Amino acid sequence: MNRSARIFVTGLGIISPAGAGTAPFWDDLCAARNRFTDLTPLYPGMKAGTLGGRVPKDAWDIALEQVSEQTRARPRAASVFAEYAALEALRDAGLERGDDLVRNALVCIGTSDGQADALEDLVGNRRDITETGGFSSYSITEDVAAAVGARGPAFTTQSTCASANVAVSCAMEMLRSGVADTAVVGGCDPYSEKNIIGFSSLQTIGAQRCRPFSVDRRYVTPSEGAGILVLQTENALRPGQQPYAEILATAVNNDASHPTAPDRDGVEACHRRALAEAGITAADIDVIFAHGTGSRANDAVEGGIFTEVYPRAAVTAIKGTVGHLMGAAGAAGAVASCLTMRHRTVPPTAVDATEVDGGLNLVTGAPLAMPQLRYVQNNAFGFGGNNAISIFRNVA
Amino acid sequence: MFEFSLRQVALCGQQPGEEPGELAAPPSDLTAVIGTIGDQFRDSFTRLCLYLARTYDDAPQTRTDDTVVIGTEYGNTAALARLQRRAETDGKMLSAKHFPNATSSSASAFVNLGIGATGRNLTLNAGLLTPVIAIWQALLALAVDRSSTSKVLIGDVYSPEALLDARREPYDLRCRSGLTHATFVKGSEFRADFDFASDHDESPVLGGQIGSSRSSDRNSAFVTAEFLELIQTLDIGQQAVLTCRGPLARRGALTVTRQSTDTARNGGRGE
Repeated sequence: MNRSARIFVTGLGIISPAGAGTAPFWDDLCAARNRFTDLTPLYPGMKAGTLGGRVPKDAWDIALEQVSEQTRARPRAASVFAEYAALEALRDAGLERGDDLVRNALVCIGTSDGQADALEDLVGNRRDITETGGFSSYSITEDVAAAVGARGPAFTTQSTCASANVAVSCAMEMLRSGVADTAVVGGCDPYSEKNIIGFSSLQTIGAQRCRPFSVDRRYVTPSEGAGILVLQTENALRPGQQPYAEILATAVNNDASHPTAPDRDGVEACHRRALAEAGITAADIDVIFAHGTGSRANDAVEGGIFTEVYPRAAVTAIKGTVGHLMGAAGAAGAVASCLTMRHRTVPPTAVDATEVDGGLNLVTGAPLAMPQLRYVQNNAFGFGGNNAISIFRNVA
Repeated sequence: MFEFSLRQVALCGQQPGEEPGELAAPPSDLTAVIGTIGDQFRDSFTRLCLYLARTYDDAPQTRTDDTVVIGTEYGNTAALARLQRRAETDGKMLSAKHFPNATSSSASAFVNLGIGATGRNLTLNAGLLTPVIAIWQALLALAVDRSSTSKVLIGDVYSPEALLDARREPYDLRCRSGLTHATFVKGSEFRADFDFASDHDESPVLGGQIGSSRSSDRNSAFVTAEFLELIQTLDIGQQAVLTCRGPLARRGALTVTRQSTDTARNGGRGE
């Protein structure tokens, strides 16, 4: 087992409320421009005016054109999003469907709500099981594998909002162990009625948009989409490929403390583990893409760790712009981390500098140029005490 | 290649011929082991996971760095469906306690919480290859010193919705509910070799098999338990092979060779 095998990010793909593709995603991040809309109340008594981020119709149409015939014939949102993002990432890596590297690739997709539309239509007696196409979470990964033409190991990981980073961790382990030399990995989550109902019952979503690390923060803004990375080991790199970054580590742990509330000790332990696995210290980290949900509890725990342990790092949180992509949140952060490496620019958090809580070194206002960027950290946490943190290294 | 010792294996499941769904005869000490607090919110999958994780192992007195891997196709589907239905009937009176029990990894959350495991935790679904991938992830955690103990829970408790889904593509396999719990610890009693090379045969017989004996169950809890029981009977140098096949020539094979007899099962928490 060659544990020292280096792993590079060679391709990126994303679909989000910003639109289809990395270009509109990066544009919206840098402009701190959100496209949130009112969500329709889903049950008697649910408050009107709750904000959410939806993949726009034109982006859906673009995605639908590109996905497999099978998915186009019976579209399930998770498969549409994940297939689109995977195909974009493959093109971005300079690889093609059926390519030798891709044929044996590992595919691992993280999701929390999976094929939510299929299950929810079944439960709501709106469609029968055949019409839905089925709801097993494995079908998302199976669909992505079929779309890119991969026959290597394929599996779905489900760790609430840390799902995508957990998928990245699993894929890294398999690449380092020699199971495959290329991986198509990331996360996706569609709009889920069950999820909106759940967050509504916890009173964590509402009419005020997500304001990460603001003293006035109150609500999470749920959204949807998918983000995919192509990972290749050093030996699998082809001449001319220019990786976005080397991925050094993705640490995973569990708080084992509370079903929903984050635990500072557990979250901090995940930070320590990520740094140890990457072989660097907190002082080396230049930029942190925070989980930054805009909830009181999450941002208090994360913000406290950042100010005490990472005083030098520039912190940013993208959920004020694209919303919380749930199981795909870590994937959106990973794509943003890699684009930050490429552009040497940190997109701002969509809050005003005057409202930043606790002296945090939060990037606000204009994008921050960082010509000497070396290491970027990407956090993703979830209900159930799930923590997963990736660290990327600049290889330009 | 991984080395490991196996501390325990337990299966809790329906008998052949039983109508698939909830276990007609759940363990008699279920309530005593997991209590009843929150029972109106948690589903049978979470209850059974928690029961097995707490029953068939020493309960640690402190938090551990244990890894927990849950391999399941349908997991907490019952709780997800119930939350959606309860919102319709309860409206704004819907309890906030439903949601933490109604995520796709709720069972994992409550197992980690219930046994104080702070190591890696995963809920994964590899379709018919779930046992091989889940065991790979569990053994990797031992091999790279992330944990000294890896606990694996594999299987499904079929809700009505899960049954409908599973029967869309039945693969000529029966559905019955069941869950297997196994505790892997660091040691050298066994060697595990994995092979994920695709099948050359484009239309192989799908599902799990031990050697040439094919399992008739879709729920891989049963073939996993049978396999892990079998390896404990091997003499030194003997091997057993678990092969799982899925559509599109996807295949995972786990060959376990006994290397020694170990005292891990009698040695507390394996170290």
